Amino acid sequence: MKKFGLALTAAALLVTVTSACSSGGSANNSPSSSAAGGAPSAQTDAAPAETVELTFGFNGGDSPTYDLYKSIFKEYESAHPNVKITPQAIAKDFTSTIMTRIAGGNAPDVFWISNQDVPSFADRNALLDLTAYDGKYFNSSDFLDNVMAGYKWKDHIYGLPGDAAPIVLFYNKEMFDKAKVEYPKAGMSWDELLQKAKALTVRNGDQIEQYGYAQDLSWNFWAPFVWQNNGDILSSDGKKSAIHSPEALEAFTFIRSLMNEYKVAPTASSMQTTPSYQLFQQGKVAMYFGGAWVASTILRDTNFEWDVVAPPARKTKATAMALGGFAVSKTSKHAEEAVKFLSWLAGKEGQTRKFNGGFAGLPTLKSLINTPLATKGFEHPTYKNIHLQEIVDATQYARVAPSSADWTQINTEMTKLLQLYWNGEQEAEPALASVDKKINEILAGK
Amino acid sequence: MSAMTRKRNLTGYLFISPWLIGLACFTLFPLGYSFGLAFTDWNILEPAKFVGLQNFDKLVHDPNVRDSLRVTAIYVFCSVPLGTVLSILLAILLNQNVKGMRIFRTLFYLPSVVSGVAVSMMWIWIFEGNYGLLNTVLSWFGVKGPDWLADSNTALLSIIIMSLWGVGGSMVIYLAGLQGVPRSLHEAAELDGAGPLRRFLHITVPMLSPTVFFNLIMGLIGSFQVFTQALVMTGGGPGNATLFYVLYLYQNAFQFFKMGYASALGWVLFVIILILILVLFQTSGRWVYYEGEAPAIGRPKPRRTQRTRTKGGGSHAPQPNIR
Amino acid sequence: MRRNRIFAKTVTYLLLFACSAFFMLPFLFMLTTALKSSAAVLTIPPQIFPSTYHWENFVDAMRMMRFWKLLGNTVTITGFTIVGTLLSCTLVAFGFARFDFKGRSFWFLILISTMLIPGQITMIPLYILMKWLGWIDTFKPLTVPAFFGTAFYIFLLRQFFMTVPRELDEAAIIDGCGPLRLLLRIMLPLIRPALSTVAIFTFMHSWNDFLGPLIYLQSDGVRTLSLGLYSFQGEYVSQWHYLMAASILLMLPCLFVFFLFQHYFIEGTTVTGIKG
Repeated sequence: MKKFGLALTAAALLVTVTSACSSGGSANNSPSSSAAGGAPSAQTDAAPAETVELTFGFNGGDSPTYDLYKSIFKEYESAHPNVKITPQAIAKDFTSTIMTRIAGGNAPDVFWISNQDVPSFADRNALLDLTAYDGKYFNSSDFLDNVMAGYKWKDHIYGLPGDAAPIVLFYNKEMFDKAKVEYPKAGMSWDELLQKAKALTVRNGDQIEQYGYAQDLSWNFWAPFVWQNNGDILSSDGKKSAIHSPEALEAFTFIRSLMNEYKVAPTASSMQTTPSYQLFQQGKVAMYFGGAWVASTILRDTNFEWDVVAPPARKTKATAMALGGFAVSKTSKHAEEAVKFLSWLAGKEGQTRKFNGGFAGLPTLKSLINTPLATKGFEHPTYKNIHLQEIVDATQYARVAPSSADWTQINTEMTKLLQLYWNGEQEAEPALASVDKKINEILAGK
Repeated sequence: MSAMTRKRNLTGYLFISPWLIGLACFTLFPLGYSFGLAFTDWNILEPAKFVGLQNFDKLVHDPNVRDSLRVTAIYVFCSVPLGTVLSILLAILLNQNVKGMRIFRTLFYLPSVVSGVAVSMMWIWIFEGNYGLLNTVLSWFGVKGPDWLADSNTALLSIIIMSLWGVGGSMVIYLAGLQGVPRSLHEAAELDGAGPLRRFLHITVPMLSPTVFFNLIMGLIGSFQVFTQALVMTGGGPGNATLFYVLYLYQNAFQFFKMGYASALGWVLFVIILILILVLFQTSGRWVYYEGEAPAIGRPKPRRTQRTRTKGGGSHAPQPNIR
Repeated sequence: MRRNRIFAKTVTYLLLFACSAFFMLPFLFMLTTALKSSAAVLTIPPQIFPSTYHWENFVDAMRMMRFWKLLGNTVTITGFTIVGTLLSCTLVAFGFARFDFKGRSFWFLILISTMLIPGQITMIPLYILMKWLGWIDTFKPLTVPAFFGTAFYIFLLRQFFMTVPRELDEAAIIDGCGPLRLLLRIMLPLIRPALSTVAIFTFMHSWNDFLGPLIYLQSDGVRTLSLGLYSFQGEYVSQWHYLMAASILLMLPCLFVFFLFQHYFIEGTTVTGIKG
């Protein structure tokens, strides 16, 4: 037995050493390590065909989406033979990894960036100002205005949006049919939402078998209610907190009342561990306020027919949306080529290919938003009666995260404090007061 | 300095030279850099700005720092003792000559091998308030379990319970240590009429003490730096109930664009742990028994008498110089 | 006497099974999740046992994360790391344990101190260093430092070296043994359990390491298995069954290594090395 163990270990070492000889070499010869050191500029001087290499930072690991992007890059390369795009997948912790690479002087030329990070990065000089190229390689007016706003900072353009997905209301048609309740309409009032939720909550003695309504509690799911009531998180100049207002108070109280008072929605503690999309997909809840992206993922797997409608409204129509886009690193050695590529990728060419390839999201171009291509990513294999147009409608008045260079910190601290409100340990008034105080401290630079 | 001493010094340094080289090449620069960062305001994306002691001043007045130190201290002083006791007991259990022991040992070690996101998700499901595994099991006994991670009163406790699940690592080290306790000692003691408890206290524990010492130090260092669980499962909340110190450090470094402040936090943690470790080292002379020699660090003690019977009896001679 | 023995054995088995349950339950949960269909993963309340067993999840997960491609890289990195760690840490620990050289306490304290700094604040400076060395996008940042010792294992091995009685050293020296020979011929066999422990831990740590590969390995060709796991974690939604399946696959080599090496935990040679 001893000898066997030793033999096995020796064999393992042998395998290791031999595989090292084969793959270790290739790792050392990988092009990007030399490219990062500025080799292309030497090449452009020496070689007649100036091959420019652009690195692209992709948000995610090996996946069908990554493959889709890579195939799109290949198409760009064939149209532009002097450019080579090297994709680099960043499997997790995207933002902190990008930051590390920027600090190490190794930023990708072009990379994915969420609109929530654009103010932080732009304010700290990490992104190339694209305003000068507006009209040359791209036209900012081609993009939906509210979406383009997400990629601007202090009136300068720092990135281009590539896809959008608003928060909308999903509902289980069969449950509504069974309860003989009318389907929710776009922009229905909060009262109607409550009434329908009550009608669709099924109790069995003490247990609730079916909830009428569910939503998650991260900022993009409660902010719409605040906005619908004409409240806001930050002041319009982004310099002060605006959350401690009667309007916001009403919104917060309403949402929590659904959970704790009327008990038509699952409580915060359930939400922490069981996301509401899961509840909806499992047929435990009749209405669900969530991101449109689940339509193309989780909700492809249901055993009931569902539909989608634009969110409720109160004093005004409002909802949140998640954006994906791209930016060019400030330190890119090939700014011109990078912007050209970025414009193509986020422009009609790139977006058409992306959504044709089944990417789950909405295009951000005015020219594409009202075409069948817009909802292609959300199409369901079996249910053909889904009103996907509602998703497009909701995008027209959707808003992005408050524009602030300290947004991540504000969101982190705010969420922690609000947990005490959602789980019932604190009341709305003191909770919002503490959030207000914290936000102002952060903005003041403390 | 005699030739012997010189030779001994040279040989000693020669043996530790790989580490010294590594220290110079890979450790000194990052450590120095991060120390320097503690006196700056650096958002990572732009050049750092020197701010002197401002970060340290801010640290002292930051309520998040107060809370995170409290949370971390509670975690450390609960999980380290509990974990130590549990892993020693388990190691003893697994040290028996029972059929199928290899499989049991592997099973017990299994949890510490599983890592990353899968583990955290598993525990989130286990701790779920309504349908989670834990509350379901508790309900069989008629107990209504709390909301665990979602309740600020039990959130930290949940994470402590999780840490106990991963004792496999230290258990393996104790197992290795136990294997080093010669059977002859136990047999001799048994012949002299010592019962199992007595043998445990007077043979196993002292012989195991170097391992205990090691695991205590490592446990202390490790538990002070815990943060992944909180990052993935609670984000530090509710309120600041699970705001571990290193989690707050991480947030400052990579989410709040305050790498300078984070570095200051890191070096303060360094000082805190260092003090605790020095205390452990100083007191180790009292309770750690090395069969091989008296401990070099800590109070110098006269050499203990050897308990094993060897040729030539217990030696009180000074250590020989290795030629 | 006999009855005592049987009683002791029964108690032992009971305890073993009870503890196994505690340690195994979450893992069992992982395993059953890995076998579920994507719809079944999300059932509420969570099903302990799936209604249908999808063993193909393992195959599918392997395909989706490019298992074999990543395996080669991971094995290479881990292999080098183990070799480097065992070589360097043994030498350094021996030095700290057996030679009372001038400044030993000081350097030992420095050794311990290097473990006290949270890695998060040295991560970027280290990255800058690696960039300066030109090692980004190669295996070097992950393998080369292993050849220069790791504080944790040096400390561990030092503790074990110190449990070996000096009499053995003295006897060997009288026989004309130099320090290196002393280490190789006499000390190493005696601390085999500790060496196995170091091998197991190094394997596991390197195999599961994702932060290092995440920041140092950029190109598609050089990534490791631990990063591959995150293929299943989407921005908003994750594919839990594949994630669990992949996690289990990743875990198997570690278990195998452990099972194999625990053989060396045998209590055969007593520490004193002197019979009787």
